[in-house]
Amino acid sequence: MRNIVLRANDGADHVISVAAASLCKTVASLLQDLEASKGEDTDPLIVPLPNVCNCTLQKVLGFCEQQRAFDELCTASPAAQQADLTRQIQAWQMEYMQVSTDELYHLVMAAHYLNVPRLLDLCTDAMAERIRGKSPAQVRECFGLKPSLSPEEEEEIRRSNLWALN
Amino acid sequence: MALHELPSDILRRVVLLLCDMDMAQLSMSCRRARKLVAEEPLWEQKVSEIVRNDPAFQAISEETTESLRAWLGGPSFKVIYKLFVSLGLWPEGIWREQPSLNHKQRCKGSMHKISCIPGGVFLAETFANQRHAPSFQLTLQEREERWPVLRLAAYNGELSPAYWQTVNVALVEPGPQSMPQGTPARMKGSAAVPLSRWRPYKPSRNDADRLEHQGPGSVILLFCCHMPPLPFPNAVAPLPAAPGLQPSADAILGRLQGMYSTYYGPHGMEFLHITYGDMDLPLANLLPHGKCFAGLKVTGDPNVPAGKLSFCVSADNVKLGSYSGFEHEEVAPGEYANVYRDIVRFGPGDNFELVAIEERPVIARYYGLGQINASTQLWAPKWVEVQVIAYSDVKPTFSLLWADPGRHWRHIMDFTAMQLSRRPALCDMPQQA
Repeated sequence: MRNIVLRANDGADHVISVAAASLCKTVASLLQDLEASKGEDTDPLIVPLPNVCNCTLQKVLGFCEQQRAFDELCTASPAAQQADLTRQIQAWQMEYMQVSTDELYHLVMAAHYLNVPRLLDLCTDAMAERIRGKSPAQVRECFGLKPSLSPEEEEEIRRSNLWALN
Repeated sequence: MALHELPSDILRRVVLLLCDMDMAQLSMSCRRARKLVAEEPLWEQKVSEIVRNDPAFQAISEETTESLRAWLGGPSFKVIYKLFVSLGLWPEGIWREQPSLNHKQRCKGSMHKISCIPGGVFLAETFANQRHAPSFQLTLQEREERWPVLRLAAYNGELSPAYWQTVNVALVEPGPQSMPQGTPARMKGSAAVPLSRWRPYKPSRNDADRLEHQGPGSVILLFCCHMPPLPFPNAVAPLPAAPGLQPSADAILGRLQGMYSTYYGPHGMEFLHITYGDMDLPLANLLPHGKCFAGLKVTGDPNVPAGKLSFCVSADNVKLGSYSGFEHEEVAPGEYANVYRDIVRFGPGDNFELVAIEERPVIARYYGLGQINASTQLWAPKWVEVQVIAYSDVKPTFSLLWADPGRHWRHIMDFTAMQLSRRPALCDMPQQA
Protein backbone atom coordinates (compact mmCIF):
# COMPACT_ATOMS: atom_id res chain seq x y z
CA MET A 1 0.00 0.00 0.00
CA ARG A 2 1.33 3.36 -1.04
CA ASN A 3 1.70 6.19 1.44
CA ILE A 4 0.39 9.59 0.51
CA VAL A 5 2.13 12.70 1.74
CA LEU A 6 0.44 16.04 1.45
CA ARG A 7 2.88 18.93 1.69
CA ALA A 8 1.57 22.28 2.90
CA ASN A 9 2.90 25.58 1.55
CA ASP A 10 5.35 25.93 4.45
CA GLY A 11 6.89 22.51 3.70
CA ALA A 12 5.22 20.59 6.52
CA ASP A 13 4.36 17.00 5.46
CA HIS A 14 1.24 15.10 6.45
CA VAL A 15 0.93 11.38 5.83
CA ILE A 16 -2.62 10.18 5.24
CA SER A 17 -4.23 6.86 4.49
CA VAL A 18 -5.45 6.02 0.99
CA ALA A 19 -8.95 5.63 2.43
CA ALA A 20 -8.97 9.16 3.84
CA ALA A 21 -7.32 10.55 0.71
CA SER A 22 -10.13 9.10 -1.39
CA LEU A 23 -12.40 11.77 0.09
CA CYS A 24 -10.21 14.42 -1.57
CA LYS A 25 -11.18 13.98 -5.19
CA THR A 26 -8.16 15.93 -6.42
CA VAL A 27 -5.73 13.59 -4.65
CA ALA A 28 -7.76 10.53 -5.55
CA SER A 29 -7.67 11.29 -9.26
CA LEU A 30 -3.97 12.05 -9.06
CA LEU A 31 -3.43 8.66 -7.47
CA GLN A 32 -5.54 6.96 -10.11
CA ASP A 33 -3.62 8.59 -12.96
CA LEU A 34 -0.32 7.60 -11.38
CA GLU A 35 -1.35 3.97 -10.96
CA ALA A 36 -2.66 3.84 -14.47
CA SER A 37 0.63 5.04 -15.90
CA LYS A 38 3.14 3.36 -13.56
CA GLY A 39 1.29 0.43 -12.08
CA GLU A 40 1.54 -0.60 -8.43
CA ASP A 41 4.31 1.19 -6.67
CA THR A 42 5.31 1.51 -3.04
CA ASP A 43 7.06 4.85 -3.29
CA PRO A 44 5.28 7.46 -1.24
CA LEU A 45 3.27 9.89 -3.33
CA ILE A 46 4.15 13.45 -2.42
CA VAL A 47 1.55 16.04 -3.28
CA PRO A 48 2.70 19.61 -2.85
CA LEU A 49 -0.14 22.00 -2.07
CA PRO A 50 1.18 25.51 -2.57
CA ASN A 51 -2.23 27.07 -1.88
CA VAL A 52 -2.87 25.44 1.47
CA CYS A 53 -1.26 26.49 4.73
CA ASN A 54 -0.24 23.99 7.38
CA CYS A 55 -2.99 24.59 9.93
CA THR A 56 -5.76 24.53 7.31
CA LEU A 57 -4.38 21.31 5.86
CA GLN A 58 -4.37 19.79 9.33
CA LYS A 59 -7.99 20.81 9.76
CA VAL A 60 -8.97 19.32 6.37
CA LEU A 61 -7.17 16.06 7.10
CA GLY A 62 -8.85 15.90 10.50
CA PHE A 63 -12.15 16.04 8.67
CA CYS A 64 -11.19 13.34 6.17
CA GLU A 65 -9.96 10.91 8.83
CA GLN A 66 -12.99 11.49 11.05
CA GLN A 67 -15.48 11.12 8.18
CA ARG A 68 -13.73 7.90 7.13
CA ALA A 69 -14.12 6.56 10.66
CA PHE A 70 -17.79 7.58 10.71
CA ASP A 71 -18.36 5.89 7.34
CA GLU A 72 -16.94 2.64 8.63
CA LEU A 73 -19.09 2.90 11.75
CA CYS A 74 -22.15 3.55 9.61
CA THR A 75 -21.68 0.45 7.47
CA ALA A 76 -20.84 -1.70 10.50
CA SER A 77 -23.63 -0.67 12.86
CA PRO A 78 -27.18 -2.05 12.66
CA ALA A 79 -30.05 0.03 11.30
CA ALA A 80 -31.41 0.71 14.77
CA GLN A 81 -28.32 2.69 15.74
CA GLN A 82 -28.16 4.76 12.56
CA ALA A 83 -30.22 7.63 13.94
CA ASP A 84 -28.02 7.81 17.00
CA LEU A 85 -24.93 7.78 14.82
CA THR A 86 -26.30 10.54 12.60
CA ARG A 87 -26.80 12.69 15.68
CA GLN A 88 -23.25 11.94 16.75
CA ILE A 89 -21.91 12.96 13.34
CA GLN A 90 -23.92 16.15 13.34
CA ALA A 91 -22.65 17.03 16.81
CA TRP A 92 -19.08 16.46 15.68
CA GLN A 93 -19.59 18.58 12.57
CA MET A 94 -21.06 21.41 14.64
CA GLU A 95 -18.04 21.29 16.90
CA TYR A 96 -15.73 21.13 13.88
CA MET A 97 -17.27 24.25 12.34
CA GLN A 98 -16.59 26.41 15.40
CA VAL A 99 -13.96 28.47 13.57
CA SER A 100 -13.33 32.14 12.94
CA THR A 101 -14.52 33.68 9.68
CA ASP A 102 -10.95 33.87 8.44
CA GLU A 103 -10.35 30.19 9.17
CA LEU A 104 -13.61 29.42 7.42
CA TYR A 105 -12.40 31.23 4.28
CA HIS A 106 -9.21 29.22 4.21
CA LEU A 107 -11.06 26.01 4.89
CA VAL A 108 -13.58 26.55 2.11
CA MET A 109 -10.77 27.41 -0.32
CA ALA A 110 -8.85 24.28 0.65
CA ALA A 111 -12.00 22.13 0.37
CA HIS A 112 -12.59 23.64 -3.06
CA TYR A 113 -8.99 23.12 -4.19
CA LEU A 114 -8.69 19.58 -2.85
CA ASN A 115 -12.26 18.91 -4.02
CA VAL A 116 -13.71 17.42 -0.82
CA PRO A 117 -17.45 17.63 -1.62
CA ARG A 118 -18.67 16.85 1.87
CA LEU A 119 -16.41 19.40 3.52
CA LEU A 120 -17.41 21.96 0.89
CA ASP A 121 -21.07 21.35 1.70
CA LEU A 122 -20.38 21.74 5.38
CA CYS A 123 -18.46 24.98 4.81
CA THR A 124 -21.07 26.53 2.52
CA ASP A 125 -23.73 25.58 5.08
CA ALA A 126 -21.71 27.29 7.78
CA MET A 127 -21.25 30.41 5.65
CA ALA A 128 -24.96 30.56 4.82
CA GLU A 129 -25.70 30.16 8.53
CA ARG A 130 -23.51 33.19 9.22
CA ILE A 131 -25.41 35.30 6.69
CA ARG A 132 -28.91 34.27 7.76
CA GLY A 133 -30.97 36.86 9.58
CA LYS A 134 -28.35 39.59 9.25
CA SER A 135 -28.88 43.11 7.96
CA PRO A 136 -26.55 44.33 5.20
CA ALA A 137 -24.47 46.20 7.77
CA GLN A 138 -24.18 43.10 9.94
CA VAL A 139 -23.15 41.02 6.91
CA ARG A 140 -20.42 43.55 6.15
CA GLU A 141 -19.25 43.50 9.73
CA CYS A 142 -19.23 39.71 9.95
CA PHE A 143 -17.30 39.22 6.72
CA GLY A 144 -15.07 42.26 6.98
CA LEU A 145 -16.45 43.97 3.88
CA LYS A 146 -16.05 47.62 3.06
CA PRO A 147 -19.30 49.29 2.03
CA SER A 148 -19.04 49.51 -1.76
CA LEU A 149 -22.59 50.60 -2.45
CA SER A 150 -23.81 54.14 -1.97
CA PRO A 151 -26.81 54.58 0.32
CA GLU A 152 -28.87 55.45 -2.77
CA GLU A 153 -27.86 52.22 -4.49
CA GLU A 154 -28.63 50.25 -1.34
CA GLU A 155 -32.05 51.88 -1.17
CA GLU A 156 -32.67 51.04 -4.82
CA ILE A 157 -31.93 47.37 -4.22
CA ARG A 158 -34.13 47.42 -1.17
CA ARG A 159 -37.01 48.83 -3.18
CA SER A 160 -36.70 46.29 -5.95
CA ASN A 161 -36.61 43.49 -3.39
CA LEU A 162 -39.57 44.52 -1.29
CA TRP A 163 -41.37 41.36 -2.31
CA ALA A 164 -38.76 39.30 -0.49
CA LEU A 165 -38.14 41.59 2.45
CA ASN A 166 -41.65 41.72 3.84
CA MET B 1 -8.67 37.24 2.94
CA ALA B 2 -12.29 38.30 2.65
CA LEU B 3 -15.62 37.25 1.24
CA HIS B 4 -15.10 38.91 -2.12
CA GLU B 5 -11.88 36.94 -2.71
CA LEU B 6 -13.71 33.63 -2.74
CA PRO B 7 -14.39 32.09 -6.14
CA SER B 8 -17.84 32.81 -7.53
CA ASP B 9 -18.97 29.22 -7.70
CA ILE B 10 -18.46 28.80 -3.95
CA LEU B 11 -20.41 31.97 -3.28
CA ARG B 12 -23.17 30.77 -5.61
CA ARG B 13 -23.49 27.61 -3.56
CA VAL B 14 -23.79 29.69 -0.41
CA VAL B 15 -26.38 32.02 -1.92
CA LEU B 16 -28.51 29.08 -3.02
CA LEU B 17 -28.80 27.97 0.60
CA LEU B 18 -30.29 31.28 1.65
CA CYS B 19 -33.94 32.19 1.81
CA ASP B 20 -35.29 35.06 -0.30
CA MET B 21 -35.09 37.55 2.51
CA ASP B 22 -31.48 36.72 3.35
CA MET B 23 -30.58 36.91 -0.32
CA ALA B 24 -32.08 40.37 -0.55
CA GLN B 25 -30.22 41.49 2.57
CA LEU B 26 -26.98 40.06 1.26
CA SER B 27 -27.37 41.81 -2.09
CA MET B 28 -27.44 45.12 -0.26
CA SER B 29 -24.14 44.49 1.48
CA CYS B 30 -21.69 45.00 -1.38
CA ARG B 31 -21.32 45.23 -5.15
CA ARG B 32 -20.01 41.72 -5.54
CA ALA B 33 -23.00 40.29 -3.69
CA ARG B 34 -25.40 42.46 -5.66
CA LYS B 35 -23.99 41.14 -8.92
CA LEU B 36 -24.03 37.57 -7.67
CA VAL B 37 -27.62 37.67 -6.47
CA ALA B 38 -28.74 39.16 -9.78
CA GLU B 39 -27.36 36.25 -11.81
CA GLU B 40 -29.92 34.54 -13.97
CA PRO B 41 -28.66 30.91 -13.48
CA LEU B 42 -29.21 31.33 -9.75
CA TRP B 43 -32.87 32.18 -10.26
CA GLU B 44 -33.19 29.45 -12.81
CA GLN B 45 -32.01 26.99 -10.20
CA LYS B 46 -34.37 28.41 -7.60
CA VAL B 47 -37.27 28.10 -10.04
CA SER B 48 -36.34 24.50 -10.79
CA GLU B 49 -36.11 23.71 -7.06
CA ILE B 50 -39.49 25.21 -6.36
CA VAL B 51 -41.02 23.30 -9.27
CA ARG B 52 -39.41 20.02 -8.27
CA ASN B 53 -40.10 20.19 -4.54
CA ASP B 54 -43.51 21.74 -4.20
CA PRO B 55 -46.55 19.53 -4.71
CA ALA B 56 -48.42 22.50 -6.15
CA PHE B 57 -46.23 22.13 -9.24
CA GLN B 58 -46.89 18.47 -9.80
CA ALA B 59 -48.46 19.18 -13.16
CA ILE B 60 -45.32 20.80 -14.54
CA SER B 61 -42.58 19.10 -12.54
CA GLU B 62 -41.38 17.28 -15.65
CA GLU B 63 -40.82 20.51 -17.52
CA THR B 64 -37.33 21.87 -17.95
CA THR B 65 -36.76 25.41 -16.78
CA GLU B 66 -36.26 26.54 -20.36
CA SER B 67 -39.50 25.03 -21.58
CA LEU B 68 -41.19 26.59 -18.57
CA ARG B 69 -39.83 29.97 -19.54
CA ALA B 70 -40.85 29.57 -23.17
CA TRP B 71 -44.21 28.46 -21.89
CA LEU B 72 -44.66 31.62 -19.87
CA GLY B 73 -43.70 33.88 -22.74
CA GLY B 74 -40.02 34.36 -21.97
CA PRO B 75 -39.64 36.56 -18.88
CA SER B 76 -36.52 36.36 -16.73
CA PHE B 77 -36.27 33.57 -14.18
CA LYS B 78 -36.20 36.11 -11.41
CA VAL B 79 -39.61 37.34 -12.52
CA ILE B 80 -40.91 33.78 -12.79
CA TYR B 81 -39.64 33.09 -9.31
CA LYS B 82 -41.21 36.26 -7.97
CA LEU B 83 -44.50 35.33 -9.56
CA PHE B 84 -44.42 31.90 -7.99
CA VAL B 85 -43.64 33.30 -4.59
CA SER B 86 -45.90 36.31 -4.62
CA LEU B 87 -48.85 34.33 -5.89
CA GLY B 88 -48.41 31.60 -3.36
CA LEU B 89 -46.02 29.76 -5.66
CA TRP B 90 -48.48 29.29 -8.44
CA PRO B 91 -51.42 31.35 -9.56
CA GLU B 92 -53.67 28.34 -9.49
CA GLY B 93 -56.36 28.74 -6.93
CA ILE B 94 -59.27 30.96 -6.15
CA TRP B 95 -59.01 34.66 -6.73
CA ARG B 96 -61.42 37.36 -5.95
CA GLU B 97 -61.62 40.12 -8.42
CA GLN B 98 -61.11 43.56 -7.00
CA PRO B 99 -64.04 45.77 -7.97
CA SER B 100 -62.91 48.56 -10.14
CA LEU B 101 -62.55 51.75 -8.17
CA ASN B 102 -64.28 54.28 -10.30
CA HIS B 103 -66.26 52.35 -12.85
CA LYS B 104 -69.42 50.42 -12.85
CA GLN B 105 -68.73 46.90 -13.83
CA ARG B 106 -71.12 44.11 -14.25
CA CYS B 107 -68.85 41.44 -12.87
CA LYS B 108 -67.97 43.53 -9.88
CA GLY B 109 -66.23 41.58 -7.19
CA SER B 110 -66.87 38.18 -8.64
CA MET B 111 -64.59 35.24 -7.95
CA HIS B 112 -62.45 33.27 -10.33
CA LYS B 113 -60.79 29.94 -10.31
CA ILE B 114 -57.42 30.21 -12.03
CA SER B 115 -55.97 27.01 -13.34
CA CYS B 116 -53.28 26.02 -15.77
CA ILE B 117 -54.29 24.36 -19.02
CA PRO B 118 -51.97 22.57 -21.44
CA GLY B 119 -49.97 25.05 -23.43
CA GLY B 120 -48.93 26.99 -20.38
CA VAL B 121 -51.85 29.32 -20.24
CA PHE B 122 -53.65 30.16 -17.06
CA LEU B 123 -57.33 29.86 -17.42
CA ALA B 124 -59.65 31.78 -15.22
CA GLU B 125 -63.22 30.74 -14.70
CA THR B 126 -65.79 33.01 -13.23
CA PHE B 127 -67.90 31.18 -10.75
CA ALA B 128 -69.53 33.73 -8.52
CA ASN B 129 -72.74 33.65 -10.45
CA GLN B 130 -72.71 29.91 -10.97
CA ARG B 131 -71.59 30.13 -14.54
CA HIS B 132 -69.13 27.49 -15.32
CA ALA B 133 -67.45 29.03 -18.27
CA PRO B 134 -63.91 29.98 -19.01
CA SER B 135 -63.88 33.73 -18.93
CA PHE B 136 -60.34 34.66 -19.84
CA GLN B 137 -56.78 33.51 -20.08
CA LEU B 138 -53.66 34.91 -18.54
CA THR B 139 -50.08 34.94 -19.63
CA LEU B 140 -47.08 36.26 -17.83
CA GLN B 141 -45.37 39.44 -18.86
CA GLU B 142 -42.44 41.25 -17.47
CA ARG B 143 -43.64 44.80 -17.26
CA GLU B 144 -42.61 46.19 -13.97
CA GLU B 145 -39.60 45.63 -11.81
CA ARG B 146 -41.47 45.19 -8.60
CA TRP B 147 -44.33 42.93 -9.50
CA PRO B 148 -44.79 40.42 -12.21
CA VAL B 149 -47.84 41.39 -14.15
CA LEU B 150 -50.22 38.96 -15.66
CA ARG B 151 -51.46 40.00 -19.02
CA LEU B 152 -54.96 39.01 -19.67
CA ALA B 153 -56.63 38.06 -22.85
CA ALA B 154 -60.32 38.33 -22.37
CA TYR B 155 -62.79 36.32 -24.28
CA ASN B 156 -65.68 38.46 -25.30
CA GLY B 157 -68.15 35.63 -25.04
CA GLU B 158 -69.48 35.95 -28.55
CA LEU B 159 -67.91 32.70 -29.73
CA SER B 160 -65.72 34.53 -32.20
CA PRO B 161 -62.28 33.17 -31.43
CA ALA B 162 -60.63 35.77 -33.62
CA TYR B 163 -61.55 38.47 -31.21
CA TRP B 164 -59.22 38.58 -28.28
CA GLN B 165 -58.72 41.52 -26.06
CA THR B 166 -55.63 42.27 -24.10
CA VAL B 167 -55.81 44.20 -20.92
CA ASN B 168 -53.62 44.78 -17.95
CA VAL B 169 -54.03 42.83 -14.80
CA ALA B 170 -52.03 44.12 -11.93
CA LEU B 171 -51.54 41.67 -9.13
CA VAL B 172 -51.39 44.31 -6.47
CA GLU B 173 -53.95 45.94 -4.32
CA PRO B 174 -54.94 48.83 -6.52
CA GLY B 175 -54.31 52.37 -5.50
CA PRO B 176 -55.70 55.08 -7.75
CA GLN B 177 -52.24 55.59 -9.24
CA SER B 178 -51.77 51.93 -10.12
CA MET B 179 -54.98 51.68 -12.10
CA PRO B 180 -54.18 50.99 -15.70
CA GLN B 181 -55.89 53.33 -18.06
CA GLY B 182 -58.67 52.00 -20.16
CA THR B 183 -62.33 51.94 -20.80
CA PRO B 184 -64.29 49.47 -18.79
CA ALA B 185 -67.04 47.45 -20.29
CA ARG B 186 -69.37 44.68 -19.50
CA MET B 187 -67.82 41.33 -19.31
CA LYS B 188 -70.05 38.68 -20.69
CA GLY B 189 -69.92 35.17 -19.49
CA SER B 190 -69.94 32.59 -22.19
CA ALA B 191 -72.11 29.62 -21.52
CA ALA B 192 -70.38 26.26 -21.58
CA VAL B 193 -67.60 26.88 -24.09
CA PRO B 194 -65.76 23.59 -24.49
CA LEU B 195 -62.10 23.89 -23.58
CA SER B 196 -61.10 22.72 -27.03
CA ARG B 197 -62.39 25.99 -28.44
CA TRP B 198 -59.85 27.87 -26.42
CA ARG B 199 -56.76 28.78 -28.32
CA PRO B 200 -53.59 29.25 -26.39
CA TYR B 201 -52.93 32.93 -26.22
CA LYS B 202 -49.71 34.03 -27.89
CA PRO B 203 -48.35 37.47 -27.15
CA SER B 204 -47.86 39.38 -30.36
CA ARG B 205 -46.38 42.65 -31.46
CA ASN B 206 -49.84 44.11 -31.85
CA ASP B 207 -50.48 43.75 -28.16
CA ALA B 208 -48.56 46.87 -27.33
CA ASP B 209 -50.67 48.84 -29.77
CA ARG B 210 -53.83 47.37 -28.40
CA LEU B 211 -52.75 48.28 -24.91
CA GLU B 212 -52.07 51.82 -26.03
CA HIS B 213 -55.42 52.26 -27.67
CA GLN B 214 -57.82 50.22 -25.69
CA GLY B 215 -61.08 50.59 -27.39
CA PRO B 216 -64.54 49.99 -26.06
CA GLY B 217 -64.99 46.45 -24.92
CA SER B 218 -61.77 46.03 -23.00
CA VAL B 219 -61.89 44.95 -19.43
CA ILE B 220 -59.74 45.87 -16.50
CA LEU B 221 -59.56 43.44 -13.69
CA LEU B 222 -57.49 43.78 -10.61
CA PHE B 223 -56.95 40.78 -8.47
CA CYS B 224 -56.24 40.41 -4.88
CA CYS B 225 -56.37 37.26 -2.89
CA HIS B 226 -58.61 38.21 -0.03
CA MET B 227 -61.86 36.36 0.35
CA PRO B 228 -63.09 37.58 3.72
CA PRO B 229 -66.45 35.85 3.97
CA LEU B 230 -65.01 32.35 3.87
CA PRO B 231 -62.78 31.02 6.62
CA PHE B 232 -59.55 29.37 5.57
CA PRO B 233 -58.28 26.87 8.07
CA ASN B 234 -54.51 27.21 7.91
CA ALA B 235 -54.29 24.11 9.99
CA VAL B 236 -57.15 22.07 11.27
CA ALA B 237 -57.24 22.32 15.02
CA PRO B 238 -56.19 19.15 16.79
CA LEU B 239 -58.91 17.23 18.53
CA PRO B 240 -59.46 18.25 22.14
CA ALA B 241 -57.17 16.06 24.22
CA ALA B 242 -59.12 13.74 26.45
CA PRO B 243 -56.98 10.78 27.43
CA GLY B 244 -58.72 7.48 27.01
CA LEU B 245 -61.86 9.20 25.82
CA GLN B 246 -63.27 8.97 22.32
CA PRO B 247 -63.94 12.47 20.93
CA SER B 248 -67.62 13.02 20.29
CA ALA B 249 -69.08 12.80 16.80
CA ASP B 250 -69.93 16.47 17.15
CA ALA B 251 -66.40 17.61 18.10
CA ILE B 252 -64.83 15.74 15.18
CA LEU B 253 -66.95 17.51 12.57
CA GLY B 254 -66.95 20.91 14.25
CA ARG B 255 -63.26 21.44 13.68
CA LEU B 256 -63.33 20.63 9.97
CA GLN B 257 -65.11 23.74 8.68
CA GLY B 258 -63.47 25.91 6.05
CA MET B 259 -62.14 25.86 2.52
CA TYR B 260 -60.85 22.61 1.05
CA SER B 261 -59.52 21.34 -2.22
CA THR B 262 -59.91 17.88 -3.69
CA TYR B 263 -59.72 16.12 -7.03
CA TYR B 264 -62.95 15.29 -8.81
CA GLY B 265 -61.43 12.70 -11.10
CA PRO B 266 -61.16 13.93 -14.68
CA HIS B 267 -62.65 17.29 -13.71
CA GLY B 268 -59.45 18.05 -11.84
CA MET B 269 -59.06 20.05 -8.69
CA GLU B 270 -62.06 21.78 -7.24
CA PHE B 271 -62.67 23.82 -4.14
CA LEU B 272 -65.35 23.35 -1.55
CA HIS B 273 -66.63 25.34 1.34
CA ILE B 274 -67.36 23.01 4.23
CA THR B 275 -69.83 24.01 6.91
CA TYR B 276 -71.27 22.28 9.92
CA GLY B 277 -74.43 23.08 11.84
CA ASP B 278 -78.20 23.23 11.58
CA MET B 279 -78.96 23.86 7.96
CA ASP B 280 -81.97 24.51 5.89
CA LEU B 281 -81.30 22.02 3.14
CA PRO B 282 -83.56 20.69 0.42
CA LEU B 283 -82.86 17.21 1.74
CA ALA B 284 -85.08 17.24 4.77
CA ASN B 285 -86.95 14.13 3.70
CA LEU B 286 -83.76 12.24 2.89
CA LEU B 287 -81.59 12.94 5.91
CA PRO B 288 -82.39 12.62 9.59
CA HIS B 289 -82.98 15.88 11.44
CA GLY B 290 -80.17 17.45 13.38
CA LYS B 291 -76.83 18.91 12.55
CA CYS B 292 -75.41 18.48 9.06
CA PHE B 293 -71.92 18.52 7.62
CA ALA B 294 -72.13 19.85 4.08
CA GLY B 295 -69.75 20.62 1.23
CA LEU B 296 -70.73 23.46 -1.09
CA LYS B 297 -68.92 23.66 -4.42
CA VAL B 298 -67.10 26.94 -4.78
CA THR B 299 -65.74 25.83 -8.13
CA GLY B 300 -67.71 23.45 -10.20
CA ASP B 301 -67.52 21.23 -13.21
CA PRO B 302 -69.88 20.69 -16.15
CA ASN B 303 -71.71 17.95 -14.27
CA VAL B 304 -72.16 19.59 -10.90
CA PRO B 305 -71.54 23.32 -11.21
CA ALA B 306 -70.35 25.81 -8.64
CA GLY B 307 -72.84 26.82 -6.04
CA LYS B 308 -74.33 23.35 -5.73
CA LEU B 309 -73.97 21.05 -2.77
CA SER B 310 -71.56 18.20 -3.38
CA PHE B 311 -72.47 16.21 -0.33
CA CYS B 312 -74.24 16.40 2.98
CA VAL B 313 -73.95 13.97 5.88
CA SER B 314 -75.73 13.77 9.17
CA ALA B 315 -73.88 14.07 12.46
CA ASP B 316 -76.28 11.57 14.04
CA ASN B 317 -75.85 8.82 11.46
CA VAL B 318 -72.36 7.95 12.59
CA LYS B 319 -70.13 4.96 13.28
CA LEU B 320 -67.25 5.70 15.60
CA GLY B 321 -63.99 3.80 15.62
CA SER B 322 -61.67 2.29 13.04
CA TYR B 323 -62.83 0.94 9.68
CA SER B 324 -62.00 -2.42 8.13
CA GLY B 325 -63.41 -1.46 4.73
CA PHE B 326 -66.12 -4.10 4.90
CA GLU B 327 -69.72 -2.99 4.33
CA HIS B 328 -72.97 -4.79 4.84
CA GLU B 329 -74.28 -4.81 1.27
CA GLU B 330 -76.89 -6.46 -0.84
CA VAL B 331 -74.99 -8.97 -3.00
CA ALA B 332 -78.05 -10.53 -4.63
CA PRO B 333 -81.73 -9.61 -4.42
CA GLY B 334 -82.66 -9.97 -0.77
CA GLU B 335 -79.27 -11.42 0.14
CA TYR B 336 -76.87 -9.43 2.32
CA ALA B 337 -73.22 -10.03 3.19
CA ASN B 338 -70.15 -8.22 4.47
CA VAL B 339 -68.14 -7.33 1.38
CA TYR B 340 -64.92 -5.52 0.70
CA ARG B 341 -64.63 -3.61 -2.54
CA ASP B 342 -61.43 -1.97 -3.70
CA ILE B 343 -61.28 1.73 -2.91
CA VAL B 344 -59.90 3.88 -5.68
CA ARG B 345 -58.69 7.45 -5.49
CA PHE B 346 -58.51 9.49 -8.69
CA GLY B 347 -55.74 12.02 -8.87
CA PRO B 348 -54.80 14.74 -11.29
CA GLY B 349 -55.09 13.73 -14.94
CA ASP B 350 -55.96 10.10 -15.51
CA ASN B 351 -54.05 8.87 -12.46
CA PHE B 352 -55.67 6.68 -9.87
CA GLU B 353 -54.48 4.55 -7.02
CA LEU B 354 -55.82 2.00 -4.59
CA VAL B 355 -56.40 3.17 -1.05
CA ALA B 356 -55.99 0.78 1.89
CA ILE B 357 -58.68 2.30 4.09
CA GLU B 358 -58.04 -0.22 6.87
CA GLU B 359 -54.55 1.20 7.33
CA ARG B 360 -55.76 4.75 7.85
CA PRO B 361 -56.40 6.17 11.34
CA VAL B 362 -60.17 6.34 10.92
CA ILE B 363 -62.00 7.63 13.98
CA ALA B 364 -65.50 8.15 12.65
CA ARG B 365 -67.71 7.67 9.59
CA TYR B 366 -70.80 9.73 8.87
CA TYR B 367 -73.43 8.55 6.44
CA GLY B 368 -75.28 10.85 4.11
CA LEU B 369 -75.84 11.77 0.48
CA GLY B 370 -73.75 13.06 -2.39
CA GLN B 371 -75.02 14.86 -5.45
CA ILE B 372 -74.34 13.58 -8.97
CA ASN B 373 -75.53 14.72 -12.36
CA ALA B 374 -75.09 12.47 -15.36
CA SER B 375 -75.55 15.04 -18.11
CA THR B 376 -73.42 18.08 -18.81
CA GLN B 377 -76.28 19.62 -20.76
CA LEU B 378 -79.08 19.18 -18.31
CA TRP B 379 -79.31 19.77 -14.58
CA ALA B 380 -81.04 16.63 -13.33
CA PRO B 381 -79.25 15.73 -10.11
CA LYS B 382 -79.51 12.53 -8.17
CA TRP B 383 -78.61 11.95 -4.56
CA VAL B 384 -76.53 8.85 -3.86
CA GLU B 385 -75.12 7.24 -0.75
CA VAL B 386 -71.80 8.55 0.56
CA GLN B 387 -69.90 8.57 3.79
CA VAL B 388 -67.54 11.16 5.24
CA ILE B 389 -64.53 9.57 6.87
CA ALA B 390 -62.75 11.50 9.62
CA TYR B 391 -59.24 10.70 10.78
CA SER B 392 -57.30 11.23 13.96
CA ASP B 393 -54.43 12.41 11.81
CA VAL B 394 -54.50 15.82 10.15
CA LYS B 395 -53.54 14.71 6.63
CA PRO B 396 -55.68 13.94 4.77
CA THR B 397 -58.10 15.91 6.85
CA PHE B 398 -61.14 13.96 5.85
CA SER B 399 -62.38 11.87 2.93
CA LEU B 400 -65.57 11.34 1.04
CA LEU B 401 -66.31 7.73 0.10
CA TRP B 402 -68.93 7.11 -2.56
CA ALA B 403 -70.99 3.94 -2.42
CA ASP B 404 -70.84 3.40 -6.21
CA PRO B 405 -73.49 0.65 -6.17
CA GLY B 406 -73.15 -1.97 -8.90
CA ARG B 407 -69.42 -1.42 -9.36
CA HIS B 408 -66.52 -3.59 -8.30
CA TRP B 409 -64.90 -0.64 -6.60
CA ARG B 410 -65.80 2.46 -4.64
CA HIS B 411 -64.12 5.80 -5.10
CA ILE B 412 -62.78 8.07 -2.44
CA MET B 413 -61.79 11.74 -2.42
CA ASP B 414 -59.26 13.10 0.06
CA PHE B 415 -59.82 16.68 1.15
CA THR B 416 -56.95 19.02 1.88
CA ALA B 417 -57.43 22.17 3.91
CA MET B 418 -56.40 25.20 1.89
CA GLN B 419 -53.13 26.62 3.10
CA LEU B 420 -53.60 30.28 2.60
CA SER B 421 -50.68 31.16 4.83
CA ARG B 422 -48.33 30.37 1.95
CA ARG B 423 -49.81 33.19 0.03
CA PRO B 424 -48.62 36.57 1.25
CA ALA B 425 -51.42 39.05 1.55
CA LEU B 426 -50.64 41.25 -1.42
CA CYS B 427 -52.97 43.91 -0.11
CA ASP B 428 -50.85 44.31 2.99
CA MET B 429 -47.71 45.07 1.03
CA PRO B 430 -46.57 48.66 1.35
CA GLN B 431 -47.13 50.87 -1.63
CA GLN B 432 -44.08 51.63 -3.66
CA ALA B 433 -42.61 54.97 -2.63
